[in-house]
Amino acid sequence: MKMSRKALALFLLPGGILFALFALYPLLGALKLAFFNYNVFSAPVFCGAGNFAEMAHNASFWNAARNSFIYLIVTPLLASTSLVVAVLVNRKMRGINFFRTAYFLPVVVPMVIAGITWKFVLDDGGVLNNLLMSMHVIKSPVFWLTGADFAIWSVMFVTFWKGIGYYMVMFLTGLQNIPSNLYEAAEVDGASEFYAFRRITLPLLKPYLLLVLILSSTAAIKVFDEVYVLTSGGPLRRSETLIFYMYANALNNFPPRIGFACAVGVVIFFIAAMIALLNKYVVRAQ
Amino acid sequence: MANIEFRDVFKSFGNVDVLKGISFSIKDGDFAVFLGPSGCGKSTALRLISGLETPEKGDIMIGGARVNETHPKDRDIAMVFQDYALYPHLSVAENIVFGLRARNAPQSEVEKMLAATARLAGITALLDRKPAQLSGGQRQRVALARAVARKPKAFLFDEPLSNLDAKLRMSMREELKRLHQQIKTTCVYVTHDQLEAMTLGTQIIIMNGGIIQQIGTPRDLYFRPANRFVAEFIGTVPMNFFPGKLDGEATFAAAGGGHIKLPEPARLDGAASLGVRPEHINLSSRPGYIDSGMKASVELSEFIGGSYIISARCGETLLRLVSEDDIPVGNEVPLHLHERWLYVFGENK
Repeated sequence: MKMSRKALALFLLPGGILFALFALYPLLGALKLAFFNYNVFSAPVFCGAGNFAEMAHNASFWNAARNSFIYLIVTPLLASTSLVVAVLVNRKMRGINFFRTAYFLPVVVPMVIAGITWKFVLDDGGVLNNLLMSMHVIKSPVFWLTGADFAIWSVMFVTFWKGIGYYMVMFLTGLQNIPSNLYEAAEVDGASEFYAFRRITLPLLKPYLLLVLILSSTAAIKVFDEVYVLTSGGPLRRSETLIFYMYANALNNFPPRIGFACAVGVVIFFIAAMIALLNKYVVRAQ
Repeated sequence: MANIEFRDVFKSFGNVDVLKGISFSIKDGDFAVFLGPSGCGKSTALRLISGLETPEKGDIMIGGARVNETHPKDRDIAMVFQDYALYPHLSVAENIVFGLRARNAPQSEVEKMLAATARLAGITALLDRKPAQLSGGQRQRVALARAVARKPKAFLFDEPLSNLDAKLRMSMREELKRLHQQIKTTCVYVTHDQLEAMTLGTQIIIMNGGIIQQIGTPRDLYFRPANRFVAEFIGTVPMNFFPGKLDGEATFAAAGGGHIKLPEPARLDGAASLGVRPEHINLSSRPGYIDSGMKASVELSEFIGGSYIISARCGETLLRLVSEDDIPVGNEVPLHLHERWLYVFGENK
């Protein structure tokens, strides 16, 4: 059924209005405010590139940027693990739905609840330390969330745990779109399972891999919930990421530095866009 | 040696018995065709030969060795699938040599086989293209080349021509036949098209409901069908059946009133049917034909190029006849039957 342009426009209009109101307008507003000093109590004052200049000389900003780039390590880990899990749960065997559900369950748990639970596990006197000490694996508690060396890795672990099921579903969709007779043909032709995975599965999953890499890397750059619930950016900003840094300047300061926070937001936007483009070129080149 | 043998093989999927104890033997170098309607088990039999399925009971022998537990890659067979199963992300050249590379063949052998099979299949100019850029016939050739490149003991074809148009199907059929004559390798071919089976096969295994109905050469199946199913299935224009019963051993009393002398004595109790192929029914007196005493009323006439297929009703029976001339609808035509090519089937067969 061919749709007229008018009908097409009418169908797109509600979504377009919502996008314009809740995404485009705030984005443009933030872009504008990035060039202003604004503390909510008085009118914005134009400062040109002042906010960006301050950022460039701010050690806390570079600390947050460094932590955000460290956080990107979770991206390849998530992509590879969720791919392996997807391949495993793609088999036709009894009870496989149980495993699919089990891997997906963390995705539907709200991050605040998941964060509080993991905090209970990873706390200095938490479940994990008690278990490891009772098994004599460690002699004294490990400061998973409060130790400078461990905090960001512990937060990254929670992101990893929560993300496996989400990206598993994407890869599963891709796997199930690959015709099974390709594998049968490969089997008859003499290909081992690994060879078929390398020469058939991986190349045909490229669009899904690209999607997973882009989504997981931009999520890593934008991570907030886990940081807020587990460590609040501590200890000593050792787990403070760019978004948390932006939040701290916007809402944790008094007076709030909305203009500066918007400038940080603009930088985050460009970093995320660069990462997405880089992912695209790397995957396409392969 | 690539003779293939099934010994009392059973195969089920859940509660459905797909193959019910089938046995057959395919000699080395034969072009054996599994023929039958959809769901008869012919593709399952092919997949059992390939190793993509395993039987519940029975033995599958290739080259004299039992291969029930042998992995498909170790059976040294190549398969051409119904939808070709070409790897969409690989070029034609990469598709052809996929099996060779998977088996770590030396680069020199890979290049040699690629050139030879591409030439044989007539696709040398297409080697850099992707499958999506090929026509149906070209994809079919690539699938064939991929199978040939492996130099297997046997080729398996799962309805490879079913996605092609009629004209292309005919030319690909000829090419397959020439290829078999050239490479002389055992071929096992699955089709529901009796014309494909008759033109390609040196041996036809006709199946229905998971049971083999008859095994024989095309001529065997055509001129000496074992039962009514085979008689009805084989033949471009299906065989006609006159209901009736035997009158003694040498005469058939048709329900339409005719008394027809049989070429050979037959022994059957109860209701039976007399089978006659359309080309063995003449509409006028001729040497070698007997007057059945029956007439048929023409209902339809279809021009098929060199002749007409005439649908005519004789009592309750709708017949299909072949005539060089058109016959007007409504005309009554006498039925003269070939005195030799008459078949009697019991109503249970």
